[in-house]
Amino acid sequence: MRNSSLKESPLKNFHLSLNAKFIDFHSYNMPLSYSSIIDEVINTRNNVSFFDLYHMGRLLVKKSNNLNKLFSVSIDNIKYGKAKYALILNNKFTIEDDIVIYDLKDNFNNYFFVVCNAANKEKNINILKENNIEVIDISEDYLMIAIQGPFSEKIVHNLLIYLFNIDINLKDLYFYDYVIIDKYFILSRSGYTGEDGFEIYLDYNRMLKIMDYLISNNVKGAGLGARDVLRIEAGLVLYGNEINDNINPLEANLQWAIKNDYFNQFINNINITKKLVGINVINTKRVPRNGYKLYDYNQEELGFVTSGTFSPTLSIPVGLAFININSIQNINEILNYEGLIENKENFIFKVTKLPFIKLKYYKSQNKIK
Amino acid sequence: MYKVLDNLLYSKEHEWVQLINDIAVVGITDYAQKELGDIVFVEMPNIGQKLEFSKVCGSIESVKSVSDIYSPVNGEVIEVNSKLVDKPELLNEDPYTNYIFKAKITDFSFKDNLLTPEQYKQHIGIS
Repeated sequence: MRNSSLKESPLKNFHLSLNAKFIDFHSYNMPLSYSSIIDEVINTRNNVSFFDLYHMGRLLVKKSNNLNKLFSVSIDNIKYGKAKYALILNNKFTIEDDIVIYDLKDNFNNYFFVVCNAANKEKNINILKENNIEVIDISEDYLMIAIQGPFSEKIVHNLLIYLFNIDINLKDLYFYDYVIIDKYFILSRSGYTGEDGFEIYLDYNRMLKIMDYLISNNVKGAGLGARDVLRIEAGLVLYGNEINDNINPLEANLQWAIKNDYFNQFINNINITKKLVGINVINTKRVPRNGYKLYDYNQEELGFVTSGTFSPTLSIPVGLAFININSIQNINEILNYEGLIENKENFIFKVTKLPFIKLKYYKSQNKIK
Repeated sequence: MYKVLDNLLYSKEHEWVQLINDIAVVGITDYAQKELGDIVFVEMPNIGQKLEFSKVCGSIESVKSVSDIYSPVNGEVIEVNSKLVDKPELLNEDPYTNYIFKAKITDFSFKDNLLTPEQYKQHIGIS
């Protein structure tokens, strides 16, 4: 059942050589897994993995004051050298997408480099154009991979020296810092796994060299299956699951991503009806799945699951879920709250703090030698 | 790439059946376990439960999805593989040695609906 309109990653041959299983992810034919999702998650947490992120949208967006009515971070807050996580918001103060913004300075004067979700790329382009903001899709000019895990710094350092004779002191490159090596080579200390790691935006020819280097140095691949598990364990939201245009940033615990006077004014006036929480499953290894309903022990509906997985790191099923605010008097009281997940055979969840795991981002206060 | 054993019968839903007189041993195929990926929980039928051909009698949770188990026989469950309670991954490691349940057959009419190894290979597109 191959869909002929599927877009193929230029790195597909590497995935084929590693016996990848593929998945149609929003019309991109991407690696789901190479061996076992669980093994790939554990390898990322303990060692280092690469991820092909060709499906992500890469856009050049013209710098314009109009962006301040779309992006949760005002353009004055976007500084060269520090990437910004931001939301694209609408005038209902609900979420159209989550993005990462880079200022490429002289390389693309007057544009931001914006990385967005595959599913929303066309929508975002339309929103920007409707707001008279010029946008150029440059997804084909820059391929995108992530290298994630505790040994990612060592691998990235070595490959830069070995392949390109570039010696960068990565100890000075903290979480969300980036360096522009040249116009078509951006190295960013970022990722979506909860681990230390890097994302690389690079032209096709040099990306092939990096892939050859990674594979010949026995760095294992991780697919979108592992990426989903890793981001759930790290408590990170996914567009289409935890966030969409019916969810506002406060409900999804994303108020920290609002650094913009225009959207600040919404914060005190917005109606919050639900709150995103983590849930542990405590009496079975059944997995909470997107759409499963949550009930209290009196059969009162409490909310619904948005994402769930078996957590290889914790060895229990975990999930992200929205809890109705009305059903609980005080949001602080819901920690450790127990209830039932509706299924053929109901099973028990317990509300827990997010993230599920300790985040390992490389931040300046870290005393890492 | 997908193992299909010669001495078994198969359902279109990717269960295998070994018939020993009036006892059926039931598991999932190599194709099924590879499609599911890492298996983390197996909901098995209860001992004594009546089984009807092609009716749901359990489920398998993998990291990425949950799938029903459809009974490939008519009968009554007489044994379940209790090793799968703590080690569901055995179905990934060796799906043909690690059965899910055994049933006493009450009516053999289901047999015509099962596939031979050759037919099953065609069904999964490897012949």
